Amino acid sequence: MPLAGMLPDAFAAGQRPDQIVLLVHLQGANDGLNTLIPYRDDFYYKARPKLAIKKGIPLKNNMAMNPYLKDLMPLWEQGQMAWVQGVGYSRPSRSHFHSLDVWETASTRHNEDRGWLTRVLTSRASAVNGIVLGDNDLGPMGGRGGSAVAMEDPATFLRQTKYLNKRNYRASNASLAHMLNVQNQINTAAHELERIHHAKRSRVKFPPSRFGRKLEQVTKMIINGMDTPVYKVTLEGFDTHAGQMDPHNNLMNHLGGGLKAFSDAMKQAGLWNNVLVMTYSEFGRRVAENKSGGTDHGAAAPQLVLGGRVRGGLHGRQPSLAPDKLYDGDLVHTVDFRQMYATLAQRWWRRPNPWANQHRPLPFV
Amino acid sequence: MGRLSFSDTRHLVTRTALGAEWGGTKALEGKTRQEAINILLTSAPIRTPGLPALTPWANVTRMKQQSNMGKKRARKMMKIEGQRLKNWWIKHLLHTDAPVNEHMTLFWHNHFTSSLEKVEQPHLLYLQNQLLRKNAMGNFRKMLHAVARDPAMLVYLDGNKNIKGSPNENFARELLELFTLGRGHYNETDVKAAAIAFTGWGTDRNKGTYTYSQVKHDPRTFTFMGKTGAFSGDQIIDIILEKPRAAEYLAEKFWKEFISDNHPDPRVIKRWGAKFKKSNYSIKVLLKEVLNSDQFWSSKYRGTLTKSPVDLVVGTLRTLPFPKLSAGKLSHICQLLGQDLFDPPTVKGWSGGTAWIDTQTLLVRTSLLNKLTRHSKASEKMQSYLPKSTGTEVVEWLLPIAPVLPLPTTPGKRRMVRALMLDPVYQLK
Repeated sequence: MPLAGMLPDAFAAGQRPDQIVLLVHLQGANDGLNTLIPYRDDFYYKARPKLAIKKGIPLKNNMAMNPYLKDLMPLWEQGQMAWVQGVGYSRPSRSHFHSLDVWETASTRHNEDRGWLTRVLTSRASAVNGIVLGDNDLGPMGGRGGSAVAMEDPATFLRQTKYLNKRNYRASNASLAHMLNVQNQINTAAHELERIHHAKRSRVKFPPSRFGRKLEQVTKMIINGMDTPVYKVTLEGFDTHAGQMDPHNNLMNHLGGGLKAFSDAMKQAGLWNNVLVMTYSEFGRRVAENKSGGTDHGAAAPQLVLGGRVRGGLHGRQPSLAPDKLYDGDLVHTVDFRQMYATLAQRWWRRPNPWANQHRPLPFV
Repeated sequence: MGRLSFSDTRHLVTRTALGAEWGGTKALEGKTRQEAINILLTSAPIRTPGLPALTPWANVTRMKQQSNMGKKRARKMMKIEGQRLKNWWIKHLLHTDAPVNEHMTLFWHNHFTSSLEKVEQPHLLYLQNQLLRKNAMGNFRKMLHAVARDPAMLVYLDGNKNIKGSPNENFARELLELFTLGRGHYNETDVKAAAIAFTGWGTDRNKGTYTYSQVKHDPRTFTFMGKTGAFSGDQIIDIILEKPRAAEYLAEKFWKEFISDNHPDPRVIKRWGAKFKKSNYSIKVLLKEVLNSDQFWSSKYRGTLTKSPVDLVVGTLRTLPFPKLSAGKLSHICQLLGQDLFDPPTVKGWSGGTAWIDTQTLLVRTSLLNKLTRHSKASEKMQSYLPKSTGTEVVEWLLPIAPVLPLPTTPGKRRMVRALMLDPVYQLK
C-alpha cells in the first residue's frame, strides 16, 4: 500500500491533474432500491406493490438497473461501471441536513467541520483543489485548510470576484496570511475560469437541462487543462415522498443522459482514464412504499462509480430486504461510506487514508 | 499605570462589545485600564425587544402527534418561527445598550450550543437564549446547573432520552468534553457514570418544562472521577467544578475569545483558572482578570483575531451610520458568512478564528462592505456623522493595525472610510 514517500506530485501547479474526481450529489436522498433493483426478491415486490419496477435492465447476481439509466449500459458492458451496494453508516440519521453533514464531513458524531476531501487533499497556494458548481456550499471541501471555490456558475463567480482585492500585501500575522492565501486562491480560480471561458468546448452534445449544463461546464474546465482534481455537481429533486414513480424515473433519465455525455466527452478528449465519477446521497429511502405512492427517509443505498479505470461490476453486499433483517424498516448497511473515501484516497489518488484505522478501501478502482 | 490612548480604548471596546461607537470609545481615552474596564463592564439595563410570536411547546407537540400532515405543518411553522427568533436576536444585537453582555451571551451560545435544526422548538431556544443572557456575566456554576435543566438542552443532547436501563450518554459526554474539562481530562467510565446520574431528567410532555422522574432514574451507586456514591446530576456538576481543570478550561476559552488564536501560556491559564475558581466561578472576575492582563494589551496580539460575522455585520452597523438593513436581511447575511444564529454547525459551535474566512465567505464579506460603502444618497449622512478629527484618528478607530493597502491620496472622509473598510485589516480586531 502507498507510503508517504510514494506520494506522487499529482497536483503539480498549472497543469491538469492525472486523477480527477467528479462528485454527483443526488440531492434529497435517492431511492436506492429503484436505482439498483433486487428484481428477483419477493420482499421487494411485497414492500412495493405500486412502486416496484419490473422492467429493470438485468446486470448480474439478481440485480437490475433502473431502465431509465439505459444510456449508461455501454459503460457496464465495457466494465467501466461499478455499483457499490449497501453503503451507509451505523445509527443513521434521517434528517437531510444532519445526514448530508455526516457524508460530507465523514463524521457521525456531528463534531467535525472539515469536509472529507479537505482531509484527503493538501491545500495548495497555486491552485484550488475543488470546484463546486450550482451550489454555494463547499460541502466536502469546506472547513479549515480547505481549498475550493463554490459558485452558481462560472459567469456569476467572475462577477462576484471583480471587487476582490487583487494586490499582494505584506501579511504581518497568521490571520492576515490566511486571508491573503484565500484571496489568492479565489483570484487564481477566477483567472483560470476567465481563460477557460474563452476556450474551446467539447463537441459532444449535452442534455439541455440544468444538470447537463453543469456537466458541460465541468467538461470544458477539464479538457482545457484546469489544475483542479475535484469537481462537484448536484442533481436536485430526489426527496420523493409522494407520487414517486414518474419523477424518479425522470431523474434517472437525467442522471444517465448527463453522465453518458460526460463520459463521451472525456473519451473523445482521451481523458476517460483520468476521471472517476462517484454519486452520493443523504441516505436511501425506506424499503416499503408509503400510502402516497412515495417513499420516506431510509438508510443504506448503492453508490454508482464510473470511469475508464474503474473495475466494473457489483461490489459490496446487497443488504437483505427480509422484514426481520431490517432495522426499523430500513436496510442495514454492509459497507461504511468512509470505505468509499478510503478507496479514493488510497487507490485513486495514492494518498494516505485518514480513516485507515477503521475503514479499509474497496477494490472498485 | 499609564493612561489609555485612543487606539487602546478602541482595542478594548472592539474585543469586548459589538463594534466601537465613536462616542463611547472616545470617552474611555485617558482613563487607566482598570477605570476603563470598570466603566465598560457596568452594564446598562438589558431590555430585549418584544417577544416574537412563538407557538408554545404543547401546541407544537400536539400538531406533530396528530398526523403526518400535522408533522409537516409543524415543521413549516418551525421554519417561520425560527426565522422570527433569529431576526429578534439580530435586532437586539444591533440595538442593545449592553453590548458587552450581549457579546457574552453570544459567547455562551457558542459554548452551550443548541440548534433549531435539532430542537425544532423555537420557543425553547428563546428560553435558553434568555437564560444565557441573564447569566452571561454572572456565575458559571449557577449557569451550568441551569443549562443542565434547560429544556432546549435536554432535547438537543438527548437528555430526555436518558433513562434507567437505556442510558443516553450524549449530554454526559458533552458536559465533560465541551462544557467543563475538555478531552483528555476524563475517561469513558466517567462518561458512563455521569450518564447514570442524569437519568430521569427530562422535559414534561405537555408543558415542555424540566421534570425529574423518580421511576426513570437509576439510583445505583457508581464511581465518578474517583468518588463513589449514588450521585445526583447536580452533585456530578459540583464534583467536576472542584477540579482546577474546569476553571482552566474556561480560562482557555476566554483566551481564545479575547486574546489570540495562538496557544496560551499554561502559566497564565493556571493563574486565571485559580482566580476564577476562588471566586466560585464569577464570570465577571475572570473577564476582569483577562482584560487587565498584560497579554490582552500586548501589541503582539493586536489585530490578530478575525472578526466573526456578527462582529463584522452588526459591529459595522453599530459603529457607522450606514442605512440599516432589515433584520431578515442581516440574519441572512450572517448565515451566508457562516454564523447562522441558533443553528451552529456542530455541537462544538462555530470554530471561529481564521476558519471564519474561506473562499465563500471572503467574497460575501467583500461584496457586503463594497455595497455598504458605495457612494449613495444615504451615505451622505456619513459626511456629517464622521468626527471632526485627524485622519490618523479615523484610521485608529476603524483598524486595529496599520492598513496593508495604500490609502487614497485624494482627500474626502467618505473615500477614506471606504478604503479603510475594504482593507483586509478591517476583517480583524
